[in-house]
Amino acid sequence: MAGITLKDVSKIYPGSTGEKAVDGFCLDIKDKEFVVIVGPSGCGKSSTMRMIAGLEEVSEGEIHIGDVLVNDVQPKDRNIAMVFQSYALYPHMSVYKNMAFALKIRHLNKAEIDRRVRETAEMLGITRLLARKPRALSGGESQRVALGRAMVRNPAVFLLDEPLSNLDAKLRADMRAEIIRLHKRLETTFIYVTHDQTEAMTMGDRIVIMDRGLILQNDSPKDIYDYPANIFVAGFIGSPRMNFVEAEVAREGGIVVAKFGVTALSLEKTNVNKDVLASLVGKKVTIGIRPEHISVADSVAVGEGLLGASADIVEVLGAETIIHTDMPGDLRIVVREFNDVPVKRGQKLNLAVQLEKIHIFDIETEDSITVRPGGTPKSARSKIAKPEPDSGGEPDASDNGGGES
Amino acid sequence: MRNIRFGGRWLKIALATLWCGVFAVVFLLPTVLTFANSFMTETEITANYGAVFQKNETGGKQFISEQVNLKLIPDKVTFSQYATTLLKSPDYLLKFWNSAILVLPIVLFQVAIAAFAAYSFMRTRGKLKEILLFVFIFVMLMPYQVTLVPNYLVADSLNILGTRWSIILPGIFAPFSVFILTKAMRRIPKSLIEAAKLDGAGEWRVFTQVCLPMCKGALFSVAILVFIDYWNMVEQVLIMMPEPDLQPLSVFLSQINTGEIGLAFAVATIYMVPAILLFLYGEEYLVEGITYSGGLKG
Repeated sequence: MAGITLKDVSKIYPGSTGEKAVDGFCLDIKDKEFVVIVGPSGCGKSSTMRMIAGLEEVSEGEIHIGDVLVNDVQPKDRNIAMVFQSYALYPHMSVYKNMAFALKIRHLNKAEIDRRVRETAEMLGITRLLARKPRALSGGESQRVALGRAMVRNPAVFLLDEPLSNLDAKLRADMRAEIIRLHKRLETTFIYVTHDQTEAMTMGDRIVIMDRGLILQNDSPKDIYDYPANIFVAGFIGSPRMNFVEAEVAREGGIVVAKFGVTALSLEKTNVNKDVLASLVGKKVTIGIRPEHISVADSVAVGEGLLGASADIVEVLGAETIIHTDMPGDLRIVVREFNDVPVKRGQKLNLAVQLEKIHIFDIETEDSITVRPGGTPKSARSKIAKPEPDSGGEPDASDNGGGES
Repeated sequence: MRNIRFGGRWLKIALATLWCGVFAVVFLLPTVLTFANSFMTETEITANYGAVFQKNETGGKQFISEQVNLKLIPDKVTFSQYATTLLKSPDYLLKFWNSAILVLPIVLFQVAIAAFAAYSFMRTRGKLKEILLFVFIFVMLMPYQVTLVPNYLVADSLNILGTRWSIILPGIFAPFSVFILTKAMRRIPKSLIEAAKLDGAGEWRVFTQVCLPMCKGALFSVAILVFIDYWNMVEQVLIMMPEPDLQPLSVFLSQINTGEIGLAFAVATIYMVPAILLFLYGEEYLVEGITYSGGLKG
């Protein structure tokens, strides 16, 4: 069992013209902690994990496992196990031999190898598969064997590199729960890399969100959801993703409001320091509202926090309904309605916004202005060069489409 | 409409089957005839094929096609040719042994060396590796006759001309095998090698316990192709090793053809046996190997 410390770790791949795939990555992972590193493709999450595993050289910085600096330590001597996205089971060996391979290399006696393999197989419910070859296993079974092969060694750290990506949705949900149970049972440090925000939110004690080699936020799932440090994080976590609207802050009748289109939303109830709020008057900001914080209001309801919109697409999911709406000023707002409200396409709607849940982001730095109890964590956002206006992959303030990032 | 489609499909299958059948007969017929003729008496063979080899008035050979009689079933089955080959004449067994001690080390060492080279090509990065691989492929594309003269000169300078080493040494370093095995090894997912590394395996264990078993098919196919190639060699031996006592069965067969035609059929049949057995044993691997090499054979 061991904690992991990464100090200013950077990765520059040969032939990449000096561009850093991972840039000044600093992270302290406590012993027995379950940390999820999440981000879009190419954000550097897998490179970070591979450096921890020793499969990639560290270009700059230090990695410590426990108290040992492991920059120059061979992967086999780091006492870590890794579960690969492709499972990486040896196809010519039976499940038993796959699991026993690492133990044989460590010259354990046959009885001990047999005991450990069978014990692990029993724990994962794969005893009946021990004689099979990997090609005779289903995706879920292969996944379990891959976990078993990692577990059998009793490593100090488990590294899981998108292990559920190749599974179908149902199996993925089952395996998610299985891995969480396994972590609790094994009481070992887990580092889990994924691009799936649902996996990140449901599995980790802590989530590290990365983009372009930088850590954008490092927090608990709840805090990341409630207090995203910047627009990227706010858009990445949550499904459907947060609605972003460019607005102008103004004072109307003594109340500070955000004006966009023909609508004005009060910002008085938001978690923003009053002085800061006052200083924003006359400036442009990006307003973020999660779809679940907007609901379809009673048609006769009046009052602050109401938006007028018309339903464009209605997705009935059973427990909830996702409504894509059009607003004057060519704005699109996605609503996640949990009540059984019959909505038809083209229907005029009054949308009620939970004003205290509105997020305000600086339009230049894209950092959150919303105050978080206990202080806002420092965002690494400013270290990223601002993208070109037409570049893809970044949340656009005017793009409020739903779906996973 | 549906019936027309159905009929068209069957017509395609029938034509494809016919086409394959014709090819199969064309390729198999000489082998089957050789096998059938090996059980015929010398008189019967001469009666069937004699005219082909009949001398004309000027002393040259004259082909008289109408006198060729392709018979699959002998009038009288005889094993006398086999008895002569295997029991009465020591030449055949001696030449068989010569073939074996030339071909087996070549197959064994060529596969081993090619496997090491392929692993290196797969594991190392950099431009030098790419250049070296290009050189390998370039050499592979050269016909054998081009490398024969340099091989002869090298053998001469090493003072091994006329010995078995002059065949074995150039034989064990072959770019074709390296090429096939490199392609096979490159198909091994990188994650498997990384998993082995994390499991504690060093390079030797990754090579022997992960890569080699995963390339079993390619290794077999290379072994079979190399065996067939060197089992049939004639020119190399005639140039590098003219001493008749050292020459293999392939050369002996070409010499025996000129004399006793009946004996030639029996020797040819026995000569084919190792290659056919090897092919039957590793047919799947052979197909796999040819697939790896992109259908090319150097």
